[in-house]
Amino acid sequence: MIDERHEELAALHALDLLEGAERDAFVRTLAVNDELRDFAGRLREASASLAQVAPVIAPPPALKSRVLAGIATSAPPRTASGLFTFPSLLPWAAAAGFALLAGWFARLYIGARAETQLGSAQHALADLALQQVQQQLEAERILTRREIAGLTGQLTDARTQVAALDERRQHEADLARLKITALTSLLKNSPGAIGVAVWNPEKQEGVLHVDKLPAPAAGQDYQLWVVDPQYPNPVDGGVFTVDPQTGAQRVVFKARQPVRAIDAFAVTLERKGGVPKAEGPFVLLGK
Amino acid sequence: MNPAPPAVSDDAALLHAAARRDEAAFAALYDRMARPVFSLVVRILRSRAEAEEILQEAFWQVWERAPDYRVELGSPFCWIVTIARRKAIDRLRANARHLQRIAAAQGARAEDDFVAPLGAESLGADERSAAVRAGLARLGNEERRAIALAFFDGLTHVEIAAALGTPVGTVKARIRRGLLKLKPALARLETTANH
Repeated sequence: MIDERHEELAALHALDLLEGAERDAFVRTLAVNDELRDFAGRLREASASLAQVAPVIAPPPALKSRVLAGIATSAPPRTASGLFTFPSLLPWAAAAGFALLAGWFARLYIGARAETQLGSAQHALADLALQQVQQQLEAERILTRREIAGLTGQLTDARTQVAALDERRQHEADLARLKITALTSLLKNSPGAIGVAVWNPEKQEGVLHVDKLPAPAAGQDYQLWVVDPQYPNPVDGGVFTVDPQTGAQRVVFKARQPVRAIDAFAVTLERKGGVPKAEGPFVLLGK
Repeated sequence: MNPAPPAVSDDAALLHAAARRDEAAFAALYDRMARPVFSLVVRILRSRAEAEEILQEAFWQVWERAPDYRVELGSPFCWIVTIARRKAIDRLRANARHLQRIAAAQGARAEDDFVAPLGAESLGADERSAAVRAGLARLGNEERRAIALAFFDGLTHVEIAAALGTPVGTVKARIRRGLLKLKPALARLETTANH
């Protein structure tokens, strides 16, 4: 008795619908089950009989000739004609061998040529790609150089501005530290004579500007004195003359001794070349 | 007209003779089998040119494997049909045309499967084909459809299920019932032929 499961397997097997492990298992079952094998054979016959209901089409007569020509020799029939004996085939075999060899070399040549052409094309493409990359890098390099130049200019400007600011700040600091003193006239015949002394304690130097002083007599000079309380006598600031027409002069001076604090500036009229200690009359004085 | 239905015993004798390299017997076997087998292959491939190639290859294989044939493997007709049909379906699948068959199967009517396409001549009234058609008439449309898609279009039961929108189990059951209904008609024919 065959169950439905095996009937189904037999039906599927009859139509070649079983695959893989399921087919292998069923074939093994058929080998040991005569009843099932007979049943499966009948279903196979039933399915094959369906070919009888296909629309009838006669094969061309020439097909039979080809089929029979193919089986005329026992060798695999697909290429052998069966009409020639072995010795008579030798020249043809040699010619065929030569043709195959020639074909093989031609194929090698064509293949090598195609590979060469392909290689050339790939090389050209690689060159083109390289040129594009180089151009791109050059463009980026130019842009970078311009950016660097621009930044450098900005940096230089910034440094200039910083330097200017530093100078200005220094100048302002110097101004803050400067000792500025106005000197007034002590001369009865020249009451309008004036002077301004500016002292930079950092640099230990100063500038004296005088105006409307009477020109000194021959053999005489004006001499500047810096009064520092640390010294018993005023410190020598140097000698100068004035313009005979305007009585003006601008003198950059240094003290002969280090100055820490200034109580006053004084200008005396001394003999030519100056004296170590003030001897002549006071001309200008400022505290 | 179809050729005379091949008698099993005659066909087997011819096939055994072919196994002994009897070319005349093989030619006679070709004459008896070529037309239905060619019709089947044309029906599967829907191409006469390809069918000629397949038929040629199939009969060459029959010639080569004839020494292996045994009666236990089935009738010579069944054996040769199986060889040719498998080759045709392999060609069909190699060209991926069976996918078109799946698509075509969706929405087609069951009755179309056994109607002659390609302008072929009508079926012969020979006893064997009449018996097969009588057996097919006993099948339901769904059973005929499932069997036709498997046998003529080379679809697997999974593909048939997809094409018909039916569970795989249902497709298997329809194929089983269909072949079981077809089997008795052929059995009576064989009994008659043997007597």
